[in-house]
Amino acid sequence: MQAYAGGEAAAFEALYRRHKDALYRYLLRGTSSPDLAAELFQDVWKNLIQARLRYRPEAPFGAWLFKLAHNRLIDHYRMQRPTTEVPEDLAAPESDRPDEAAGRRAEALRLLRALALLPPEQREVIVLREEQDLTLEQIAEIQGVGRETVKSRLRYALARLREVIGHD
Amino acid sequence: MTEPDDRELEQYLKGDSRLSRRYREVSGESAPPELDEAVLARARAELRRRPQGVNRWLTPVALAASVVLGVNLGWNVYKAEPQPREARQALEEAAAPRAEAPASRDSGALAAREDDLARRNAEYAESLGKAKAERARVPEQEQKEEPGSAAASSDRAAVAPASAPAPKAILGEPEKIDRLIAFVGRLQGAMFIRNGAEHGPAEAAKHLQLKRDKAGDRVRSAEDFIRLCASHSYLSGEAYLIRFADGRTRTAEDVLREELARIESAQ
Repeated sequence: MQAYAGGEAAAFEALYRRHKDALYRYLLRGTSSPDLAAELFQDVWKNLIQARLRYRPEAPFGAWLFKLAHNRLIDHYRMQRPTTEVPEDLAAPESDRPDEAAGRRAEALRLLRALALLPPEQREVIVLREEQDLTLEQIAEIQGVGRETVKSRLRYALARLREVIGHD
Repeated sequence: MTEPDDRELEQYLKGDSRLSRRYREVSGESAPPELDEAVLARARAELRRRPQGVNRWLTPVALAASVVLGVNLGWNVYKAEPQPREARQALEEAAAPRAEAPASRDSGALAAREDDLARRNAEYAESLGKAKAERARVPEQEQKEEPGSAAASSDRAAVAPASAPAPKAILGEPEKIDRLIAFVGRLQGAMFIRNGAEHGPAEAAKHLQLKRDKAGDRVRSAEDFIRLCASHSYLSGEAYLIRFADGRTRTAEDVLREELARIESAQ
């Protein structure tokens, strides 16, 4: 990131390609809408480009990127009316086919659906772990809460998801 | 709900849980390629617009020079001739832009960018006023046109016959925006070109609605909607284009302004 801030466009491209899909999935899980995820995705990179001179290498680039993404997602949530509706387009085409309802893939799709139904702050902990392998401390920094709060969110998220996919 | 479990938590944090394995099986979504092009173009454009290196120190230098010259000029004016308080303020304000000029000439790229920013800000700040002025002006122009002229009707001919006759009721700004979006969705055979990628009418209408929702209070009129949501890419700055079924390509902004004029003149 520092190389890009110093004027190397190629350095940005390398970072972008390394993190873009994880970021896109993070936003997709957070919005359940590919169009909206695409909009927010562009916003996050735009914000990052504009803030490039403020990047400090003490934190991993991924943690910084997802902090910006978290902030953008929170802004989005604040603009939305509160809703308890189930997202419509998440995994629906696959799970509607009875012949594919058995097996691991169907279970994984149910996992995604269950993930979408988690409270946003619990879902985010899971997604950040899965997509970026961030530590509890890094997630706490992103969410602006303490490590124990993150741990508690993760514990509750796991308990809910266990109902869908069972134990190991 | 089953109870939280510390053992389950520890196992998950080790990284090889059933949950993680299942997640990986269905988490193969990738960012669409058109996003790659848009983001990378933005990153390159930002470097060109604000070169790092030399210009990094020009900004504070230009600022300092402006302050020094401004204060100096203001002080000389103050000393030269005692003025009433209001007159002195006016002189000092008038002196400020002249004091900035020499420093700005030293940083051409910076000045150009600042001009561009100032222009954009001014455009946005004046959008409400301009919207009113255009609404007053455009119907007059329409009345001067031949009712069946090709220029006035060629794009509308591409609209599906399903388009309703123009309403006689007075429309509010939100309804006008609704109609503009519906107009886009009905442009049969047209393709909307956004950052080099083509999209069909339904998808384009959905995208415009999304941008409208995102803009929130910034869009108060149909004119605002065209200017802020429907004319160019927020990210790359590239104009949105519409290629009609007959092969003609026009900017979305021009097409929508004409449609807005038609909607308003039909009221």
